[in-house]
Amino acid sequence: MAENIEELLAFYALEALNEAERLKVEDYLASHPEAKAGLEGSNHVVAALPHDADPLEPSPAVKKRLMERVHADAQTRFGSNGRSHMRHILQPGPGSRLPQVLAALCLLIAIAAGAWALALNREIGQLKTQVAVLQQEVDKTGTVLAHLTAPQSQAFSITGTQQKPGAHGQFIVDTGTGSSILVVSGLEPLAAGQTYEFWLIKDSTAVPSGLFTVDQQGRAILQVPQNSAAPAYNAIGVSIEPQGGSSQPTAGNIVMLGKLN
Amino acid sequence: MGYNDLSDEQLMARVMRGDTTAFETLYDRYCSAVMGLALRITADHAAAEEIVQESFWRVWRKADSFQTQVGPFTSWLFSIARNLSIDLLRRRKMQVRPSEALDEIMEQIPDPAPDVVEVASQGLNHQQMRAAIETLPNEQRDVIEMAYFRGMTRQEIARTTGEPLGTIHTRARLALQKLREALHIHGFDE
Repeated sequence: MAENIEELLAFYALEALNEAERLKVEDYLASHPEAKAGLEGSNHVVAALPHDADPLEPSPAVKKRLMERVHADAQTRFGSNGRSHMRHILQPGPGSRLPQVLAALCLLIAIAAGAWALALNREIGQLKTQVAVLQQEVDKTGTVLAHLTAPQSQAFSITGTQQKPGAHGQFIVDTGTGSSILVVSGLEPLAAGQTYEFWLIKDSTAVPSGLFTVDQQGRAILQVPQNSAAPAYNAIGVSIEPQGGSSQPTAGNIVMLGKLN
Repeated sequence: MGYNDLSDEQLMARVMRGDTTAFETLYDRYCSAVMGLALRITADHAAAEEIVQESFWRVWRKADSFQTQVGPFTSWLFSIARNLSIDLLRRRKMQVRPSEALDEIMEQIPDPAPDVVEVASQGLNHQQMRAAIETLPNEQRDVIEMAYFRGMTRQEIARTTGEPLGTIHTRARLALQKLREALHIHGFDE
């Protein structure tokens, strides 16, 4: 029995046992400290296995969404407010109306100040949004320029299929860094629930490489995530997919194609 | 001392107290590794990004359950990301097969070109691990790939390779043993 369990230890370390097997191994380890100690080395190796995967930067939108969620949650769970301080100020003194009047006055001032602060806050929020949008535009332009002027950049044309004959664009790869961008125009804004999806294609495999929408002029710039896992591609494409994208392009919905050669 | 100078465990201690900057530092430190792992397992860029977001969200929400005495932060984080990825893989039963759309594309694109997108820069840990993996014989490497990155059980691996279960056990054990030695040679600090 013990011998059989020992055979499972490597798979236990690899987190590749089913629940029953895992519990059996954990029972065994609880009563065999020498086996548990021997497993330590395997655990360290398995903990390092994820490093065999090529690291890849997720898009900035992932961090943005996550941090918005985290900040909101932090405010709810850990956030403090000034109510205890305010309660102290408004506490009435015994037998006197003055503190009550003062308290009421303070309350009015506080409400007015709060309303003013809210209005200012709203205005600041709107300005921040505008600045963020402008900053994104500047960043995008800067990214395009950086790719165009990179010493090892290569540009490939991508054109509209029969469905979108007016569409055209460039896929610019900085072979020095592995980063790339797609610049397109002539595409129509899509209805709600749809998105454009960019594909890097090698032989019979299409790798989803980013979702994008176009502006009212039908233009878009997509910064394609670095994909060092893929050694080579021979084509690129754009398709119309449901919101959130697809794992494979939908037949009949391919609107742009290009060769990488 | 700035946040970047703090260890993972010191940052986690702050995350437990609601420090979002500490959390953001951990995200910046490991988002690429988690994304790489999720993409390696799912082969789906959009899904991998979802897994990155969900993994770090769980780190934030379940920070209290992180125990330094059980293992380093990265083991915990990677385990979350791997489990989410394998779950997704099993749910979708993802199989790489050319779709109709792909056939449509390939028909329109003649003369495949040689390599265009080059391998990007890789981190130190990644290089160490890759070098260690390359020391394994193919059959041992396959077992690691199938068990860890594909979430296959030992029985499934035996069926897929056509080898007896005992052989699969031996390959897994030898692979981990050899990786441990190789990582030690490459300076991996346990």
